[in-house]
Amino acid sequence: MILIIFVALLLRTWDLDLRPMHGDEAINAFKLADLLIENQYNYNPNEYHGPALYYFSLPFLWTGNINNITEFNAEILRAIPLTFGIGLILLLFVFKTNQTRDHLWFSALIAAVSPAFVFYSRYFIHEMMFVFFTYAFVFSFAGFIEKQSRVMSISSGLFLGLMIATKETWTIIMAAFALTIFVLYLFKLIPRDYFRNVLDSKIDWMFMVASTGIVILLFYTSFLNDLNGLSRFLDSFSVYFNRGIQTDQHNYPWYKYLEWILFYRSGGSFFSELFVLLCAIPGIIFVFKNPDTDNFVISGKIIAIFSLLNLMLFSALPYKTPWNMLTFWFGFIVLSGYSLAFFNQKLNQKKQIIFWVLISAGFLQLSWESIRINYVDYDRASNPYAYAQPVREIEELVESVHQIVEKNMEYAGFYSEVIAPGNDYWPLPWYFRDIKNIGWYNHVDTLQAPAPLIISNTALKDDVLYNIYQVPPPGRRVMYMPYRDHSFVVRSGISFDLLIQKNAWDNLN
Amino acid sequence: MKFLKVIKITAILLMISLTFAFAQDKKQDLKPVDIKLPKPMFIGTPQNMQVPNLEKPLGKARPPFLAPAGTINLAAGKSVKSTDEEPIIGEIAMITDEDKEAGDGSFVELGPFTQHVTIDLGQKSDIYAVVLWHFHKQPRVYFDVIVQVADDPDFIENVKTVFNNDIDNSSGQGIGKDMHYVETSEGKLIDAKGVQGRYVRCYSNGNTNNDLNHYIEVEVYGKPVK
Repeated sequence: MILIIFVALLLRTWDLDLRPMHGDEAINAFKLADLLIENQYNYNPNEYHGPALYYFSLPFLWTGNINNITEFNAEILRAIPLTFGIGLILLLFVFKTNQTRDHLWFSALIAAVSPAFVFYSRYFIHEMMFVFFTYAFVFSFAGFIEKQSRVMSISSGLFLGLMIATKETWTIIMAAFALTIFVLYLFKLIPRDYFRNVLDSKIDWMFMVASTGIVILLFYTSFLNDLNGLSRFLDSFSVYFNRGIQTDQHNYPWYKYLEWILFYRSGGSFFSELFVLLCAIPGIIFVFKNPDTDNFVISGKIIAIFSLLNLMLFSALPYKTPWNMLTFWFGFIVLSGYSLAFFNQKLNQKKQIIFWVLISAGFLQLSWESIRINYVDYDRASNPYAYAQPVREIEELVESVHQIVEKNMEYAGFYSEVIAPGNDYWPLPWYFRDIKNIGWYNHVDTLQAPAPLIISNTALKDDVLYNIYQVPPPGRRVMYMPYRDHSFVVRSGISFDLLIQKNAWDNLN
Repeated sequence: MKFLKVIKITAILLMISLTFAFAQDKKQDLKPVDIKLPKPMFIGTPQNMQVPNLEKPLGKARPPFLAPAGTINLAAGKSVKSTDEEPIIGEIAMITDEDKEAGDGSFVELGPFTQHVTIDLGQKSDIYAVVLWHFHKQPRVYFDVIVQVADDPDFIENVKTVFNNDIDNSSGQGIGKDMHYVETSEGKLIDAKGVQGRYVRCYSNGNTNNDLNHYIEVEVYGKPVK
């Protein structure tokens, strides 16, 4: 186990700040700063997901003695999903009662090297925490069905509450989970005695519901500081329902998740985690074919149907982002481990040699892809998980702006403005968080004099020039210099120009 | 005399201190001022445009395109046919109605997968440029943008490809070497280099936002062959 955790840590912790900050990570950092500095969090049902990420991040900041957003850094923020990413592997061992030792090792090793799990363990968004709580709930609930233990019922309730407090997609996950239980019951895939016993333990159910309720109440009311948070939590249902079925952005065909994870082609390169699915398919067959005495029978069947239904539900919704794949993909990883353990036990010595050669090749391919997408192509189109990802060239813009600001420290009235349609300037607020006089706009305001330093989306070039040279009357027009003759690419398809007032330009030399 | 000397020294000292005081004041002026500026507004996850072979933005207005005198937009008001004759939004005729606005009512939305529109210029013409506007209300990249010119409506005779950015031949017209580009209000100007033909066909295969195809306008600049 130590070796697996070592491999997982090695792949995840190296150069944690290598990838430029994503816009979503930057926004999460600002939200976290509000909670840290002003001790204020108000749930917004329209964006930014649930409160759990921010509250669970606080101890990391306290440990790092961080008191201000300027003291934030990418490493400390990304250490949070990283911890949950490692926690997800450990979760397999915590709930080991349902699984054989071989099975655990195989599943844990695949999770340790899976490119998707390595990538999103280094990404300060809600997803890794969400997958952790989802599977903590699934394993607990499977344990509850199997043993009707009170500890498992309370643990199911707590983790369900935390899942709900993390991200609104819990509704899809729970729809898949409820359907899973229904299918297992209807087709008698789990002996009905289990269900009868579970339904009889009413007090356990009360404990489960109460623990879920308490967690929701505490998190969505900001620990009883904002009771209206509960009504906003209820509002989120309709917001996310509408977004799921009717979306102008992130609208992809049903097969997009399969394309991203299994057959992703970009230019000359090809990416795939097909090895996991190839191993998981026999695993799904085995959990239903093997006798009920097998010690993975209940959680195995739950995970198999749950993962398949999750894949179907998420694929059916037009709204798709690659990190949503993690929930069903982890289920397939668990099932892959199950089938590999099964083959390892059943094959004779001769076939085992072939088996190990194939398995080693599969693990090496996954590890290689992990290294490639996390350390080489972390911002490129050849990486299916780098979604709306700022590119490494952003550093040139950041450095240039800092240089200009530094050289104009003594220039009275010097300030900067960033202009981008739709406020699409993230993650620049993260990179310019140390710059004091900087304003953020979504359009060129012709009623206001242009700032000495203009950082504007290339699409607004004409508007910016109009505001500089057409709006002011003759004699009051100020000369501006372009910092360089071509734009700065911030992310694929989005670029910015730097225009500097002549006096400020002179201070550079 | 001594009294005058004292006054002189006092006056000099006074001037020095005043100059020093003014200098100090000026120095204070040079301190950056605290200006109330708007804070960044939060937004949702931006649309992904991580597209291979994407052309870098110019960062300045497109240079003027030079064509022989008498060159006009031959496509204006001409008839258009499409693989999707019943568009989801708008009408096929909007592609040549000279309305290049970004808003609703100015674009036609065709179904998913590879679709094409064919403009009949009315007669064989020398074509110098084709300018395409797919959709520019938000930055997008359209895939498999292919522009062909031919003598017949079925594109069998004298077919010439003037632009192709289908890097993996997913639309079946051959692998293209042209670059993907972000849609802007300027449109995409394709240099047709004086190619001759009567029909102009434009392909596309979805975009970075969804798998649908859109057209605001297609302009074909050229001169009828005499």
